[in-house]
Amino acid sequence: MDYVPLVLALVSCVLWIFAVARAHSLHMSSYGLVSVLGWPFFLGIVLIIAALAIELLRVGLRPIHLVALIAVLVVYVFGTACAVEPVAGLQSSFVHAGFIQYILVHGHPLNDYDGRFSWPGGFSLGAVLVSFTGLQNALAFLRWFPLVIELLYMAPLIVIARFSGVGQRAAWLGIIIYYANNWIYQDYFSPQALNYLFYLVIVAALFACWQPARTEDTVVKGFVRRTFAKFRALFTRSRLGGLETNSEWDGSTMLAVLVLLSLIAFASSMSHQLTPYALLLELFALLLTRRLGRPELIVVAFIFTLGWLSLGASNYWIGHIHQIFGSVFHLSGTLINNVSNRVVGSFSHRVIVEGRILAVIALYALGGIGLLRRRPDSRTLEALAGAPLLLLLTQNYGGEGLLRAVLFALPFVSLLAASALLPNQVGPIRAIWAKIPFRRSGRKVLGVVVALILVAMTLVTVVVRGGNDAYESYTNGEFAAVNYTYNHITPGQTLGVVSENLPMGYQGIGVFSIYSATYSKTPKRIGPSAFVKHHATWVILSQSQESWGVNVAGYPESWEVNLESSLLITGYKIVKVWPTATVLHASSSIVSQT
Amino acid sequence: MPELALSEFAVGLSTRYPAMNGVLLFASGALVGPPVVLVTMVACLILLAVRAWSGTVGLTLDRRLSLYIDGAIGIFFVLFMVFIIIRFTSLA
Repeated sequence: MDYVPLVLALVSCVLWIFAVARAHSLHMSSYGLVSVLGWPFFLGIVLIIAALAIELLRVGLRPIHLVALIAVLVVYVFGTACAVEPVAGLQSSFVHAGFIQYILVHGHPLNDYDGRFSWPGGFSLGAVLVSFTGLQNALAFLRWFPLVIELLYMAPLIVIARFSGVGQRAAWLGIIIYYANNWIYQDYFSPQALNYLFYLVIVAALFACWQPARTEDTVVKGFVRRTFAKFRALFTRSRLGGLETNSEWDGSTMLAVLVLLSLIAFASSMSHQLTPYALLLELFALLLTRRLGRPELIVVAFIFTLGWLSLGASNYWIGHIHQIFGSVFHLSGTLINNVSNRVVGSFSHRVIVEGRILAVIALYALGGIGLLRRRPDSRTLEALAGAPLLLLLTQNYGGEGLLRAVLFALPFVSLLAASALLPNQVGPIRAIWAKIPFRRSGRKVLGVVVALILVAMTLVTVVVRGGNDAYESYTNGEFAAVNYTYNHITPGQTLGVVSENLPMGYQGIGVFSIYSATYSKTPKRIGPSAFVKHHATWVILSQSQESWGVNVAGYPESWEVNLESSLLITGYKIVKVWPTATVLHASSSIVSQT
Repeated sequence: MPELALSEFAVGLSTRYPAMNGVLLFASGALVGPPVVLVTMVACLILLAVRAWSGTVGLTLDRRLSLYIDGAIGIFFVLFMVFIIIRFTSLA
């Protein structure tokens, strides 16, 4: 029995390799990546989950085995797209490579070009890495970045789980649940992926450093009075001064760690717009729940964040202040932008979006059960799970605010969800839901229940995470089409596309323009006049744009063929063709108009 | 005595132009500039570093000194926020 999990893991690795080798990304349907993964992939998932369930519920835990099994799960969930799709997905990752390229060539960001360039820390680090490795550009980092960064997240997650107070088994289960539910896909080549690592490292370090000191029980009669007394206890001088904490670290170690965490907060403040604010909320939650003994860290992080916004990012907000403060306290508008406005498009696209919403609701419901069942020594996990949602009161974040808030809360909600299945029973705070008694075969029943829940979670995540890949992943032909255009476009010219679902943006920042016919709104029909009007000398049509048009914008099946014909009639000429992309160039009559 | 020494310029008093010192000092143009924000930011950070260092190495500060440090942090933090708000409202 000792070797069964490892054997199962080995078989699942073989099945993964087999499944990936057989998958053809060109055959993807509107359901995305899952449509090209055969039965070996799904059998492999079942086997690795079975291995994890067996390893998790054995008498003595073996951390190294668990790490190895979780790594296999990470490869399944986050590495499959990297292996199957020949080119990195998501256009933004190519744009970020373009920002890095600009800094590499010019030595500074380009002002007034893009809001993201006002937080250039991550791009500068990328430029250093490209230079250090002797590469020409950052494109080599794009494809496998999601798998690498998710593996890097494991270390701080292990620390957070270990010191969260949920118990050993629930801690490991929480990590597995995290990976089984992370469909959010913010781990592509981006500053937010790097900053999420910063965020996890800071929280992990603070978890490891400070534990809550035992406080006197509140002896007040009456539920309302007792609740009020507990609420008032949060804001006492000793609580806000960090005095109700214990630490086994000596002073010099603590000081060194605080300095390092301040530097990380400094790096975060100049490399991402949202993560520093989520970090501030979490630091405050840690202070209130007696897990932060030095409140100075919060003020330092706040000063760095606001200081950079005011000084370094002034290029962005001068003239655009409404984008920062425009959606403050507009919760209904934020929710509409983040939820309702996304449930659009074809049936398959709506299934994917609704699947994501249901996955979040289910996870939070399980987390709620965990809240009721566990006996903690503090409500830190609950506070950390809820604090990021306050971001929605201040920022719409372009319709992605809820997504990001859920991601920031995910490690803590996952640990709470794990507590629903394996609750800790030794803390001073009483559980609200009585222990569920298991009979003699309790351990086996629990193992089966855990495995079934994990399989369901993982399958849903694989489906919804890769659900947009029909138009968010790219082919070699599309990459070649963009490359061809970059090699022939001259400064000042405009490249026209229907939607931004192309691997473009990694070159030509500030040299030529890109016109997207659906950038600000999605018109009911796309015609050649839009490209002529916006002086598009070059036009790229592609398979991913066609898929986007059908699945999201609601265009008819042959819309791109019709558009191509219309462009040819208008005067554009086809200059290069690939099976999945076509490059058109404006003829001389159009050029004189453009 | 030479005329220059007796001139309004030498004495420093001007009867022709109103005093501009107050306007120059409190003009939002001066407060909007990065150096003002940076100075208050650095002052705050230094004081916070002192506070954190004394707390972590177990150095017991005199109660009055602790209050002075906390008070100074509070004042510089408030100034930092005021200058940032002035910067946002003036430039945006």
